[in-house]
Amino acid sequence: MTSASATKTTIEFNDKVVRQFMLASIIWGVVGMLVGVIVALQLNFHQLNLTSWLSFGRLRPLHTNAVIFAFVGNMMFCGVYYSTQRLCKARMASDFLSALHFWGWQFIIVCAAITLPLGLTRGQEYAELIWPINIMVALIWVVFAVNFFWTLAKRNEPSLYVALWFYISTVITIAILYIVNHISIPTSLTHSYTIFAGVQNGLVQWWYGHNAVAFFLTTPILGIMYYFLPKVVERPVYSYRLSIVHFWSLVFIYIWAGPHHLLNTALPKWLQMLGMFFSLMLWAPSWGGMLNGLLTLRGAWDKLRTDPIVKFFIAGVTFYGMSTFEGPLLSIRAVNALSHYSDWTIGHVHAGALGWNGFMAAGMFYWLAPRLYGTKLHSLAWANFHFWIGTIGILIYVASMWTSGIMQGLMLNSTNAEGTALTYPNFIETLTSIRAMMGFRIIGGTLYLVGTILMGVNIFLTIRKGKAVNESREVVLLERNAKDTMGMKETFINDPIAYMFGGLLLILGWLFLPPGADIASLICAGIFAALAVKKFSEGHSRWSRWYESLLTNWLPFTVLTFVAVALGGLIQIIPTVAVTQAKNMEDRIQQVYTPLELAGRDIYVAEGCYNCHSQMIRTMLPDVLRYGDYSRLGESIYDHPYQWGSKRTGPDLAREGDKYPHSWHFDHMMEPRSTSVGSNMPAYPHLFTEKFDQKTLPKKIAVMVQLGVPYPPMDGAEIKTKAIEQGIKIVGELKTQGKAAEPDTKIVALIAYLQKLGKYDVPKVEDKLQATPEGIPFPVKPGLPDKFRSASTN
Amino acid sequence: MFKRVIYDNWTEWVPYVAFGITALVFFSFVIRAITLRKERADEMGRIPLDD
Repeated sequence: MTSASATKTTIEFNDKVVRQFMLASIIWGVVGMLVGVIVALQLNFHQLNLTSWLSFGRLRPLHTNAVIFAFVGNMMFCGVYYSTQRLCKARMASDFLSALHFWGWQFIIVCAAITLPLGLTRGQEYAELIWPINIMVALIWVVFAVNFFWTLAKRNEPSLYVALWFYISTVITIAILYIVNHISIPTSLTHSYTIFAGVQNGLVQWWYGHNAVAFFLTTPILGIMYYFLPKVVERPVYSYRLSIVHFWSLVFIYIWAGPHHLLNTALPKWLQMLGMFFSLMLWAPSWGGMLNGLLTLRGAWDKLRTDPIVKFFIAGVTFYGMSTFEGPLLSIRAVNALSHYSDWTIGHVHAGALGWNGFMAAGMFYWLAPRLYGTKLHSLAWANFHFWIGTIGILIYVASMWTSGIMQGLMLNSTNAEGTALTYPNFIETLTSIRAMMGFRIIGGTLYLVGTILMGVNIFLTIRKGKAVNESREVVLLERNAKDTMGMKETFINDPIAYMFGGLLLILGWLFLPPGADIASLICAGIFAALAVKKFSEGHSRWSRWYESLLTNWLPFTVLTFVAVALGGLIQIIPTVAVTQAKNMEDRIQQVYTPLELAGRDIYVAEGCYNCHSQMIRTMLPDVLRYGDYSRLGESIYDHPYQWGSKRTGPDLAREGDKYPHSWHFDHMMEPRSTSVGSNMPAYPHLFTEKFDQKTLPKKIAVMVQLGVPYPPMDGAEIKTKAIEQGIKIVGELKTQGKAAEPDTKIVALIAYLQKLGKYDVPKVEDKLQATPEGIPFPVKPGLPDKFRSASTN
Repeated sequence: MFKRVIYDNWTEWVPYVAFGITALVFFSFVIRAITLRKERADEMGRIPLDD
């Protein structure tokens, strides 16, 4: 490469797309954070739920999606496009694909910003977008992937720097997660049902949701850290060796941690434990990475005093460390019993989003803007002010949410000494006690927003005094045989791979083979491990060479990364999804929704009720005392999508059916404070005038049948008639309670749904015996916790 | 066994599986990192600064 015959050429980087993504990130960042402040205000002042499309349940998904996919997404693409070109010493492979990626992504964001306030949603957190938009997301992601990998293939730097590894893991993993979690069957152009139900849906959703945090909000930003931090402080990363351990441990372990979002629920306990343990293990790689970032500043700590960019990066990395300490802490089941469904989790995610993502974005933009526009930053003083106002904002926000979450969690879980009664039986009392903290959140969020706006103005003024420039650089063209020489055969047919996967297969055999064979499999795994150690000691250099070759071969590296991230997901998801069927339920099976109840459920989903209400009574005494018997696996088995929720701003609704008369729900939806004094829930007057969707009901039920929900055969007319008949019945009952409504209105459908919540059947013992293979102990004893249910055979 | 996947706890060995898998991955790459030649590590670390 450096020989006299080496060919040199001058390349011009595509910095236009970098500039575009940077500006888009700032603009959408301001929008997303502004919506965040608005929803925080709505939580304190319910009057600010001005219309149906500006209500909390619809705006909160807009806030989360805007911040994740629009603000951080654009920021991530900005950093990836800038650094990939420099690390590959090559211009992006296709200007057309770069432009298509940029404009396609912005179009998706605009579509999301329109559809979410309209109540068009899939009803799963961070996966709310409707199916046509999801297809666009998948296509645009493929465009990004093709452009990225094509650039790697034509690079002029033989080695793949660690930042590129993190980008590769992002491209691959997000594609898998997004596609699997969004598999749905459309019922109309704007509506679909996910193919997963109940616990399946919960498991897949949080495999996606947690790893969206991992591979959308973390790994690309770590890549950005590994590239930009050394550039800013003008010294190489503290330890390249540590970065190797950081990368592989992180991508392999992260993918297993999703179930920690479902602790103490009906999710199988072994999955909860796996989620908890792998989350705890994440401490090591996360802190390894954080220390690697912080120590990169060695010998240049004085820059912290003078350079706002270094301040942002170091504070960002510190927040990464804080968040990745707090995350595993919250994943401990006992801690989660207190923190889950409370504001503590909200504080945790904002420490990550505002501190880690937001500050890394600010540091990168302040560093990039002068370089992309060939000038100096308009004001370093403003950037410094942004840093301080942002830091104070985050601290106020996070501290108030910690206080609020812990306080409400303690109140909700408090019982008398005998454990027979709740200390605070009225949910509203616990909500009222945290109102002050919810107010501080507004102050913290507003301060952070002001800082971001200030950054936007600072960069705008920088742009005005400069001129867009594309960096040119003379590079040595890489000879064909200096990179990507490793074939698939060489990649996969070798000792390291054979022993690693052979060992894993044998361990899986231990887990899933019948008694006898499982022990044999375990013994074989032990023998295999001993053989691997022997082979390694004999041919250590060969094993090293194989790994070394991976670093100059993008395709094998990508395939191995894919395998590393896919393994955890497959092992957790496939058995549970395959087995969670009605025929395998041992105690309770959810009753199927009538057509009207299904219509009501879709309204519940569209209004975003899951943002504040859970439908999962955990296996915890305070939950059972407050809401009733704990939720079973089979009780949400027909719920497409599941609605277990992740936050309780209001009480759990899993057993809401028949708790109150129809008139209570009628009044509650019209003006929540008329039935629940002190509530901060929005009023829903539009439900009383708008009609529920009868037209698509037959199609919706047809899709439900396709998904395995046991509806009896009904034609379209019959479905509509049944819906209206039930509506008339409810209206009649309402009339006796002094309320008037039309049978085809949304409120009637919603009441029908709410009154169905918690209804289940108990399978007959003889049916279960018939359906059960020999060796599985039955009958079951409904109502007893799982651990008491397996031994009886009479 | 397979059907019990949704009901069994397997408390006795799930933590060991989690620990074992993590330890395997972690130590494999620690060994790999330690055995990486210093010159190669330095060379890789300098790539972003190679303007």
